[in-house]
Amino acid sequence: MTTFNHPVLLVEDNPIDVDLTLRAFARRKFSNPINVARDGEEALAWLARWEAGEPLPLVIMLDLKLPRVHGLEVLAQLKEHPISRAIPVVVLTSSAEDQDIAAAYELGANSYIVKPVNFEKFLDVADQIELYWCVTNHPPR
Amino acid sequence: MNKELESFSYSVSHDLKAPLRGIDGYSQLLEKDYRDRLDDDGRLFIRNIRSSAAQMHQLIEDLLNYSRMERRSLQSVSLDLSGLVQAVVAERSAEFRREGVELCLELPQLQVRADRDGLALVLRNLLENALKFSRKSTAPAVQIAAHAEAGKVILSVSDNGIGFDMKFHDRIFDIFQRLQRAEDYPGTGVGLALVRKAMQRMEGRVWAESTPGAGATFYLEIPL
Repeated sequence: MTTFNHPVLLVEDNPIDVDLTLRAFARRKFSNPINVARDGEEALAWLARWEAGEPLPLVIMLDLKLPRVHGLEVLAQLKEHPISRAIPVVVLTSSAEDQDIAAAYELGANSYIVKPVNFEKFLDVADQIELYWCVTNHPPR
Repeated sequence: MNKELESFSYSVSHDLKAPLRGIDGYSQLLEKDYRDRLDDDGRLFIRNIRSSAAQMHQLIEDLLNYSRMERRSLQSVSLDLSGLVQAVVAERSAEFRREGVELCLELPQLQVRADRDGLALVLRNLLENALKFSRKSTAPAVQIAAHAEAGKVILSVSDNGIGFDMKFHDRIFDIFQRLQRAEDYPGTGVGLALVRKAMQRMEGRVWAESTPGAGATFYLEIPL
C-alpha cells in the first residue's frame, strides 16, 4: 500500500519542538505532509475536517502538556470518536512519569515515546516513528 | 504538599527539558550545517554548549529519579538477591569488559524483602560508582559479596579506586555533594543520595568504609 502522500498530524505547542520535529523528519527525507496542531483545541478541530472528507492521518504524534485541552483529554476524545478511534496515536512527550504512561495506555495510546533531549537521539526517534508507523504498519483503510 | 510536589516534578520533567532540547538541537544543526563558516574557537564553543546541555539533562534526570524515589509507593516483596545483582551487572558487563575492570561476585542464594525497582536502582548506582572511581586504577577490580546475619542481609560493593577520607562519610550521602572535581570524575552528586533515600524507604540502610587511595566498600543492610 502506498502511504507516502498520507499526512501525519503533530500536536505540539512548543514552537521550538515543532521546528525541531519538522527538521528531524525532513533530514530523514520523510516525504509525507506533516500537519501541525498547536494546542488541544486545534487538534480536536481536526475531527470535523476529517468528517468533512480531509484525508485521515497515518499517525498522530501527540504531546501531553498542551494549552486549552490537555493531551490526555485530546487522546480520550480521539479514541472515542468513530472517525479517529482507529488512527494510531503515538504520545511524544518529555514526561517519563509513570502516571502519564499508565494513563496514556489506559486511554488507548498505541505507543509512548519520551522525547530525547539529545538531538541525535531525537533523529533516531523520528526514523523509528517513520519506519514503523508510516512504512511498516498498515493503518485501517 | 504532596500534590504540590507532584506538580513541581511534572513541571521539571516537562518544562525544563524542552528548552534543553532546543539548545542541543540548534547547537547540533549549527555544528553540522555551518561547520565551514566556523573557526576552531566557534566549534569549541558549540561543543561546550552541547556538553553543558548534556550535563544539565543528567542533573534533571537524577533529580527526577530522586523525587520519584520519595513519592512512589514501594512494594516490598521476597526477592532472589543473587538473581537481581546478576541482572544489574549484566546491564553493565560490556562496559566492565571494555574498561578492563575485573568483576568478582560472591553471592550465596539469599532471599531479601525489598522493592524490586528500588533495590535495582540502588545496585545500579553503587555499581556505577565503583566503576567510575576504579577505572583509572592500574588493575581495576570490583567485588560484590553478600551474607546473612541476625535477620538481615549485608551486601557489599568494593572497589580498588581512589577511595575517600572517612571524615566525609556522611557528606557523600547528601544530595549535590561531590568530593571530586567534575572534570576528573563526572557526576551530579545525586547518586549516593538516591541510594540512601531508597534504602531508608525500604527500611534498610547504607554506609561505607574507605581509606584514601585504597578503594572503598559500600554496605547495604537489607531486611530478610
